[in-house]
Amino acid sequence: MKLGPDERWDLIDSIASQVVTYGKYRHTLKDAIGELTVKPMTGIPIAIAVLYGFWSVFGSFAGTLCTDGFFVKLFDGYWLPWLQGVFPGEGGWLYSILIDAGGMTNGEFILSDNCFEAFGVLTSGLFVAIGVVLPAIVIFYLMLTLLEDIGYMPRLAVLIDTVLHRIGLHGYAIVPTILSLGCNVPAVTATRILETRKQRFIMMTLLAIFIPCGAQLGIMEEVIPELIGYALLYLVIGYFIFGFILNRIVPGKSPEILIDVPSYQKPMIANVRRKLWMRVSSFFKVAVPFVLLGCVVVNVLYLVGFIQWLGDILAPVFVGWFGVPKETAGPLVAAFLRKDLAVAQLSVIEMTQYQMLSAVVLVSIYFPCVATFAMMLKEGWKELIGSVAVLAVVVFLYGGIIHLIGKLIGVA
Amino acid sequence: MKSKIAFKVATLVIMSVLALSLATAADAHMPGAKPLPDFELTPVVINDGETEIEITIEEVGKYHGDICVCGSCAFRATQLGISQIWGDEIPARDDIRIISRLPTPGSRDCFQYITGTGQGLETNTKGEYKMILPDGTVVTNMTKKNLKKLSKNVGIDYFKFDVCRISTGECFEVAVKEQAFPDGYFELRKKVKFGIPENATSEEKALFKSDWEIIRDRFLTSPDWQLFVGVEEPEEENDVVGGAIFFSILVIASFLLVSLMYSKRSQE
Amino acid sequence: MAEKNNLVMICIAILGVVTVAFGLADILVSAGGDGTELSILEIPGDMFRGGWGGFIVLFAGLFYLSGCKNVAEVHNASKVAMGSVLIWIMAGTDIFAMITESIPGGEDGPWFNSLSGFLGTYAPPYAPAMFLLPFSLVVVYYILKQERTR
Repeated sequence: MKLGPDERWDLIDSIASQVVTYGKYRHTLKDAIGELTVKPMTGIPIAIAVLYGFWSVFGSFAGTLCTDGFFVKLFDGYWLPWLQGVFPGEGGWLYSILIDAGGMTNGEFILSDNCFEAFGVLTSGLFVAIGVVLPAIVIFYLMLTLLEDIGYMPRLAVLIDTVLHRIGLHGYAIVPTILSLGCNVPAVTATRILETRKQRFIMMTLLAIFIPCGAQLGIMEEVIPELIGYALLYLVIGYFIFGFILNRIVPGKSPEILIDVPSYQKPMIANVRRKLWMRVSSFFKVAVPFVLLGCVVVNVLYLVGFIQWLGDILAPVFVGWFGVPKETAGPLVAAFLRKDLAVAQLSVIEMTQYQMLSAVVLVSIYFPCVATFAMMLKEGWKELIGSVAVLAVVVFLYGGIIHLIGKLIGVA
Repeated sequence: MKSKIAFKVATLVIMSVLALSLATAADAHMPGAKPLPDFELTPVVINDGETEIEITIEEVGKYHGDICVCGSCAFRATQLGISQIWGDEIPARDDIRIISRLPTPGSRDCFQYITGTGQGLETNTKGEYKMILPDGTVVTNMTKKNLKKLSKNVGIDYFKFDVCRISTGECFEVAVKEQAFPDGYFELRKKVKFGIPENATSEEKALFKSDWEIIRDRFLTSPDWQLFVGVEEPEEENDVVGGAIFFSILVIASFLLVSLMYSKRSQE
Repeated sequence: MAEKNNLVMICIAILGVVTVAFGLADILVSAGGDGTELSILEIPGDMFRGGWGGFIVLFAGLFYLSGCKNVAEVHNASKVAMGSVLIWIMAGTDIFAMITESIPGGEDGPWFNSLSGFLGTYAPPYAPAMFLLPFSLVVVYYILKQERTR
């Protein structure tokens, strides 16, 4: 039977009258709280509080409990001495690369007494990967997953949308930004959620330069806990300044987005577990091999004297322009391969607090780690070259600005 | 005749009083020094034969003439040395040997008073006290004049004392930390007391006086770990009761919260 | 009913004022650099817990004050609830920090803390948010009960 248009509409009305109820929608407490987290006046203090909670839990779990509480004791007290004793060829090149580069005092080879200073692949490499980075990554991704599943992340995106528009991005760019705090590798992949090439380029460049990954944050928390706040402040300021500049000079469009903001809900444990496992295992499968490879390459380059040579050539720039001691040139050069180890290497060099702050910020903005470099190459070689060019300019300019600020306030 | 004798006696008495007052002034290390701070120092408790005696810093100060930097340093060093070797036991005076590297009257008097080897001291037993300078010189002439000569080059190395238990041969070296003295103190002291390399200005003298007071007060009030090398800062005692109360409140509150949520869920 | 509402308004307003005062105290003390201890209350002196945390406590107090008038209305109730959530974040992170500090035995000690060390970690003094926590829980309980009745 073929129905005419009027008959069809009558049928629709009849079905709708049986299944659809009409009434006035009353705001519930959940809706009202949801609105509070989106409006800037109330949402920004809430975002600040959530960030505080995030940071505090991160520091307590990763730093106080796992790394300082157990892993330092395990690695420095048992793993390192055992390896130092068991591995043959103490003082040789293979020993230096794999176990302990050690130090020379009065012509005598002295073994390191902690994994930070040993710089061996099996000692420092494993300690940093398992003892420092693993707890940092686990707790970071756990909290990120909880925030996503509760429904807070879209609200944060709406809140921060206006601010990110100033740098040519939109609110959802907060997702790769926050992911980058865990590891730059998935964050680079996450830039695909942005619509235009311009937005993806700006995001990739900014996160490669200005956002320290979980490994770096873990090391910074360990070796310079009193300066980490200032380092992040410099990085955030740089993120917005250079984002603003890039937005002006990079051609292309930055369109608006429409996102569905879900209501708050209880996170499902199974979902959280699955996401956490996926992210942590992905980090370990992709990033850690690069981390260990980087350790080998850095040690080899140190052994053959390449890093010292490069450091000597670049020392005038580091000392004169960036205001950091000559000895930091080596770690800063090695930071290309191992940013987190570079921070650890910096911590043993004698310098003033401000120099340490400048050096840490420089390591953060210096160059994306080799894993991120590889991921950026996968996204497009043109974008990678563009990012590296921007990076070179940013490092030179911003490093100089930090030194200048230090001189102006009398601490450099 | 009688009035002449009376006049002579009166003159003699007045002169003696004046001489005594001058002598007191000469004995005071630091004329015009600030009064002593509030401090609580336990006495050195030793057995003098069968008698248990308590030697306070005030007694040592009275024996010496005042409580000075070296006297208070020596007193604290003796207390530390005795506690390290004898622990809670009370040492016998004649079982104590002190070897000091500090050639100053204040420390000399303190150690001599404690060991009972000082002039004019009547004790049942006597310990041993020696003065051996850092370069190994054994000082036998401990007169004020000689000590002043020897103390010209006093520095931090001189503030070391060996407190020994004669019967067992155990010794404990008490060394004062460099941080107990303000920067440049010993150079300033040389300038003020001996005019080396040149005479001190009035500002330098005032600074020295102030430093002297600070060091004296430190030796009277600071804990051992701040004054002496090798003494660890004691760990803060845990407030176990307070912590236990809070922890129990935390556990009970968490339990109540979980059971409340569980009962709500089962009701729904 | 009106009397009850008035009483609730006054209680939440007092809580708001006290919370704002604590927040301001945190900020001012940490601006000075050194923390302060008053019996079992500790005002932290560092920029993170004192400065940043102080702002959060201050905002929590402001949320309480802005929502205390007519808590029966859902938007006001949500503000008061959010104030409590901010207090929970502060107190919760402090408690979590205590838990993580109490378990390991320390750099030179054994793997796990002794019982006295474990309990000693929970000893006073405490930050202001810890004292505000029970009141924030009562406030949220009242609001949830009200919501259920509605």
